[in-house]
Amino acid sequence: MKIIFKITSKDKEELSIVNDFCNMLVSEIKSDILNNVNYYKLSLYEDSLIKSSWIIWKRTPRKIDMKKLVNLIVDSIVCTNLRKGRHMISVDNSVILPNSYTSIERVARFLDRGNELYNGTFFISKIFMKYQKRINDYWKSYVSLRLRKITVSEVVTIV
Amino acid sequence: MSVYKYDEAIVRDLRHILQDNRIHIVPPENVFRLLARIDKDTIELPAVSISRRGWSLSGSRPHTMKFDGTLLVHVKDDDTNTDKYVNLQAIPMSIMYQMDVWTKTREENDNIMRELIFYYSTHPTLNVEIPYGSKDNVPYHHKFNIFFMEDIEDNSDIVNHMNRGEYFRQTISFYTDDAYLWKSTSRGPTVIDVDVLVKGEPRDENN
Repeated sequence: MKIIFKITSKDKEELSIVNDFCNMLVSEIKSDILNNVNYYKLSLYEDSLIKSSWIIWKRTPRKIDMKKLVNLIVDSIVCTNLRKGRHMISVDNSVILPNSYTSIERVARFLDRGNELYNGTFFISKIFMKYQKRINDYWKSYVSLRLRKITVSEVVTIV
Repeated sequence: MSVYKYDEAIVRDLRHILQDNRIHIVPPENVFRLLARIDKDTIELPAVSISRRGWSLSGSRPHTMKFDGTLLVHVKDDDTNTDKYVNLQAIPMSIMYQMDVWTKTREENDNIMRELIFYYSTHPTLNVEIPYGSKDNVPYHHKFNIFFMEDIEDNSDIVNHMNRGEYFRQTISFYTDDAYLWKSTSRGPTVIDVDVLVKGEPRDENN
């Protein structure tokens, strides 16, 4: 559940907007996940989270607000600058699930991929995959718009 | 001639390269249940499971075969002295899959994953058979490619049976974006009913 990409452009003007592009991408991914998430489906996992052996709870909760949990997962999606000009969009591994010692990334992976008892919902990886496949187009459009190479009407086509 | 044909093609290919008949399109939560059913309650690892994560129509990619389709074959039945033209229509789509490798040791898991990645990186083309109901029933063959995503996840840490015996699980996603939703239609030859009226002759009242 991560997107790793590298901007190969040598143009200084283009390189100066890479961080803005990452932020734009992260906020788009976040809103896309929140718009497409099926809270009812996720609520079926509530019991399994409470009873799971791999979440170390400080005090076992009676109930989990899945909407808050999804918001927490989505808020934990970050873009990290890696070495050699690479960037990575992923769920932050250092964020801990409240009232536990387990990282939120692990919970996100469970809800997304499932395990040997529960089916995955793919609510994050589906969106990540979509953005990963189109990242070149997004970058081209973003550069063109930010650096005023083309106008909005040329980027957006209404069918 | 729907999406399941692509599932079958992938399963067939995996069974061929791994020489194992236990490969099925099955979500992760049913892997052990299915393995136990096949092997009389003994679960033998390693195992590979594939689940289809969904499919989407490639709406931005119009295709000429969407409406009328293309003429696939002309079948002539000598017994009834009839002709039949089979047209094949297609709508482009992409299908997403998730592949899980389950093993008892991490080393074995890494090795199987490596082999699969190398194999499909160098042989990404698979063959799907599209039956279209011709007389001799020779299916139409369509080639499609599968592409692995770059991210391989180690999901060994979210298993529920952790304390009852360890096993390891790695997950990789792959997709095909040159798949098609197929439909075949057959029709007889186009016939024009011609009524010739010769000038000066009276019209035949029976017609």
